[in-house]
Amino acid sequence: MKVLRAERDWSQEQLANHLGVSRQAINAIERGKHDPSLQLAFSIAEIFGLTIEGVFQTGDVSGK
Amino acid sequence: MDTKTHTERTFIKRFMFSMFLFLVLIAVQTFTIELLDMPSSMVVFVTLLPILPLIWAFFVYRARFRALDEYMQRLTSEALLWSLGLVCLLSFAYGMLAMKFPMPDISFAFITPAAFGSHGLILQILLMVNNSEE
Repeated sequence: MKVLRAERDWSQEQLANHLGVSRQAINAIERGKHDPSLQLAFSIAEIFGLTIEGVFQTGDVSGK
Repeated sequence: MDTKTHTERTFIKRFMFSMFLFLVLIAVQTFTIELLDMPSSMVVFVTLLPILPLIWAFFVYRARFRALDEYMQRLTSEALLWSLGLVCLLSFAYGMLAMKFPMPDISFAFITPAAFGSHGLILQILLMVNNSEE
């Protein structure tokens, strides 16, 4: 997810604002400290124009 | 984000107002009981009056908790668990000691500020730790 965000040149704050969550939440997901809910995972995938599998991999909640 | 800022602003305004009301009612309670000769039912009512803004503050905080995102809810819940554990264990330890030794009197009224105060403090510590790990 960090790579996808960097590709779009978004800061954690910007992505958080797009998703309506806190910057801490984005940071925790990127560091693998927090597994997003299904609803948030769908929102993240949608914002990157990908499927959930395209953003998150099994056993790797921190994403790409 | 505008809506989040609005939610946060509304929370702060309502919470601070409830605390202000609490202090006003504490003053009302003190002066009324001190200066007026009232029947005991009225004294009970006036004594319990400051609880009303605290109940309101609880619902204000609950509304804010519900508006938080899932990660912040998780941190807030963890802070609540810590404060619950601390307050419960400390009061239990005090109670156990009080059964065996003469202990200084501590009013039950201090449990609420201890619980909410430690919750706020622990939440800030958790946020600080979270930010330092970035």
